[in-house]
Amino acid sequence: MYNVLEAENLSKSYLNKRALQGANLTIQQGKILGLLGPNGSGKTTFLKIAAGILHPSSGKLLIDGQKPGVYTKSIVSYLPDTEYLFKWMKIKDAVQYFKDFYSDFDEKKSFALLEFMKLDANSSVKSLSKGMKEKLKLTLVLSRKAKLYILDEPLGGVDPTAREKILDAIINNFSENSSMIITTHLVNDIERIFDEVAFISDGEIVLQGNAEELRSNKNKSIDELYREVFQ
Amino acid sequence: MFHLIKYELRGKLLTILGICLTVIIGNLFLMTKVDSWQIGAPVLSGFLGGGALVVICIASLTLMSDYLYDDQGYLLFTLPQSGVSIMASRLITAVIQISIVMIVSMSMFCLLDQGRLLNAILQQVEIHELLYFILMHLWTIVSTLTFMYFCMVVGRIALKGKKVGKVGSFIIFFLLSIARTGLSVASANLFPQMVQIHSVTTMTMNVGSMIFDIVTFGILFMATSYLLEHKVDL
Repeated sequence: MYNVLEAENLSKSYLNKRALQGANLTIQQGKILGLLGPNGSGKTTFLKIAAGILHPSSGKLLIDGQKPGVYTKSIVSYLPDTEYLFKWMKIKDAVQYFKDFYSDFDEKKSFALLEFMKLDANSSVKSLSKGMKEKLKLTLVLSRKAKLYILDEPLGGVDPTAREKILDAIINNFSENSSMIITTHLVNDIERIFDEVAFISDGEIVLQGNAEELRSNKNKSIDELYREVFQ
Repeated sequence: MFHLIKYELRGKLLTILGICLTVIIGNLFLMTKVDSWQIGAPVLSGFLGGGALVVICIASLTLMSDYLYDDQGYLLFTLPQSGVSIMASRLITAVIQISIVMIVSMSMFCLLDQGRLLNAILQQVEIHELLYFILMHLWTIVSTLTFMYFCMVVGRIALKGKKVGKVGSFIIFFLLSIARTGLSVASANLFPQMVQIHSVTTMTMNVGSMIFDIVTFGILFMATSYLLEHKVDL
């Protein structure tokens, strides 16, 4: 099993702030990793670097052995924590957009997912609620046969029913040939799907390990461990 | 790249349609006043066309700033597209939309004017000269926008904030424009040879300026493409 993502001493500094300070992290093929930490800990910064939309100040990050760039963008499916779809789009336009740009996009799967999420392909993107937009974004991202999925707060701002739906979609559509990084504050809701977890604080990975081993070694759930680390 | 152009044009469709409709309706109104306003109607039609061009040029600049400063950037910059593709698609889209507005404005002007100005031009100008004018029109759009996009991207990278970045881009544009003009004049002095464009009039082009413009365009295009792909942080 090889490492889909390898980060070594990854740092990112802004004018007066260090968002990442020598973060080290690896993700093996077929694993789902939960990247957990409080606000401002560097989670999104790390994901943005992996997605190729932020550039590190120092250190190294490789995806499938390559630095983030055109190639890695073709194998990484990234769900940002922003409303990035064009407002003029209907859902079917957004599907077509992904089909046009990503050779690994599976249109059939996308329509099956839209049905599962109870989204009408003819609805306008701007008419969707926050939860529905999140479902649409997840549909688009999961409809790709990517090597690495990066999901930044996929449960942010959605109600508990929608959360269950989103989690089911993630579990049902995850392939053993892929890997996934998920960040969330709702650890309790999502911890059951993690194979690995990494706790990030002040831009550093303070704890990383197999989720099951951490649970049994510490005799605590990941949610309890999270609260203990970041209390 | 073709897909990028397709979605850019689709995104600006309402803007293009709105501007074209305004020009058409404005000119139709002016046509009802041709007899009473005499020369005033075609002059106003010219102003209307000029205004439409200014608006569409501003819309062409927002093609870039929307991606640099708004959440839409997440959509563009996560695509497996090179900086050259992004830059070229932006320029081609801008040329298409500016040309559409220009063609509509000129067509309406010709209708209003009953083709008098067009006939006069066609009698004076040969076909290769007309082609030259069209090429110069495209070149002006492309080189000007490339320069402006470069300033916008440098402003975005150097100054992260939205307001600061936009103001900074304008200052960079202002300073680089002065430097560019100075260098262009120096090039013209270095290579003072002139090429005669028109057989009848004295329309000429300086070789030094021409070479300088082409080289500058190439450098700015590649630099902007590189910065978009490797340096822009969202």
